[in-house]
Amino acid sequence: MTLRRSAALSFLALAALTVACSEAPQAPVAPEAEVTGISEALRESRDLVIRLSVPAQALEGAGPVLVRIEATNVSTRSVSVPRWFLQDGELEEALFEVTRDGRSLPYEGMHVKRPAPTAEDFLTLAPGGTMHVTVDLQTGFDLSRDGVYGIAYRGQTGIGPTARLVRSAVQPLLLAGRLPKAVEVGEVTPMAGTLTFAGRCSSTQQTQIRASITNATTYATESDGYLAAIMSGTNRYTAWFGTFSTAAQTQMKGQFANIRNAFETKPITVDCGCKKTAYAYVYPGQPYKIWVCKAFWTAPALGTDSKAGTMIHEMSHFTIVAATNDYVYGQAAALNLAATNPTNARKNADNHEYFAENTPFKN
Amino acid sequence: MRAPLRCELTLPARVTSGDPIALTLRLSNPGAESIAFLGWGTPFEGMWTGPSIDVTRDGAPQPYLGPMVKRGAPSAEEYVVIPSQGVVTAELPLHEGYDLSRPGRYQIVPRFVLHDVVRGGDVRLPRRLDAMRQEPLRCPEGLLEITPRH
Ligand SMILES: [Zn+2]
Repeated sequence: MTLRRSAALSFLALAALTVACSEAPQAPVAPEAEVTGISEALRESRDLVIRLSVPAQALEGAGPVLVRIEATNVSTRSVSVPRWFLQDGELEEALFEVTRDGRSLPYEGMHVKRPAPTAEDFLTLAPGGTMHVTVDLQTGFDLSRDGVYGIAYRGQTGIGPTARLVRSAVQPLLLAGRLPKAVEVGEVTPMAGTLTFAGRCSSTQQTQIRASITNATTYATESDGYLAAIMSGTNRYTAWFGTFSTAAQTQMKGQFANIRNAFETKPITVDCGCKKTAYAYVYPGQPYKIWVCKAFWTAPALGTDSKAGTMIHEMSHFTIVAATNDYVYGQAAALNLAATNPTNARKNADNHEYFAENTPFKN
Repeated sequence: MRAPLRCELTLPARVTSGDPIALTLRLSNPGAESIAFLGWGTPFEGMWTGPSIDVTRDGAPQPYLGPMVKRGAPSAEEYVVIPSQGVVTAELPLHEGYDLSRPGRYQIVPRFVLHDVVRGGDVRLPRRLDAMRQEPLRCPEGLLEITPRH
């Protein structure tokens, strides 16, 4: 096992970055698109051979799924690898292509924004050298269901124009006895829908999420009722959705009825695995799964940009719920959008959230 | 009149169905002041975070398949700075945001909006969410032909 730093490499990294990064006086330019994402057009490396292994062909029960990555330099020259492609522990990149019963699984782990790499960001493998690391596949993929999984490594050597794709063969793995990571405790709540947790939510987090869904249901019910009752443009309506018309009111009433219905009757999954600074995210075409991120945990339970309001925001994004967009973020911009472009305001997720939160209170 | 950012979009003209498709954005600053912009919703974020492009196949709109993110306050690291006369580029796999598996003629119409744009070096970054100045980023359209795999 060789882990020596190559001086030649810092030059290589700098050369690759000159395109994206002229002098940056204030904030570092973020060239991560060139640095971390594996460009799909890369040629394959013949220098580095990757072998995967798992503790057993079949694993029983919940718990980590450890995959050992062994990298061997089969060429006659040194090979450099950005260290995040060969790193122990938690996944920081989409390093694997994973399938379950033949269907590919999305990468759900971290996606680290990195500054310009320096020589320290590279591992060097001498000719003939081998190294290995072990990662927990669960930190990047939803392995909560039983099935036949296929795991293939997908990393790269070098960087910039000299980068090459590195792939392994597919390692099959049978997982059995894996329960959904956590299921709602059978408390009496006003919801008929079920709530499932993913991404290793702690018990405190589960409590907070459960409360946020209950509060969001209350918000949606109140908003739905309010929109049904008004006969003209109230302060609250026009602030967030602009000029009043019966057609616009009907549209908003329909969207909030859908949001309410989803909270009350649909199976919702909340995933705590996101480490981004954002509040939350969803895939609009994949109802009703919501990932909550760092800002969510420090948000208040109710009021502006609250946990409950964030749930309204995210639920409104799903195509079959209200198909909202993120035209603008934040209260000031949302108020301005309603005043200048009501059509977009009626399809902007933050406008839905702020209408529902109604903070500061408007009649 | 302030000098706008100049945007160039690069796409392969023709690919075989199932092959990866990289979209490259190259922004240059022809003006005399530096320009800092928030990378949100652009390839400079390194991932798709919203439907910032209209994609149609033979005229039919194609749904956005990526995530949509509710933001917290921005951090300074989320800004990209282009010095006067400088250039930055970023690349994203288009097929990670949109379904491009079916053969056809695809039209790629960028609708990028920069959530905050700061000209000159006097403003401290990041700005608060309610002090941000949004600007559309005008980029050329692209055409892409996806041919069947044989
Ligand atoms: Zn959103």
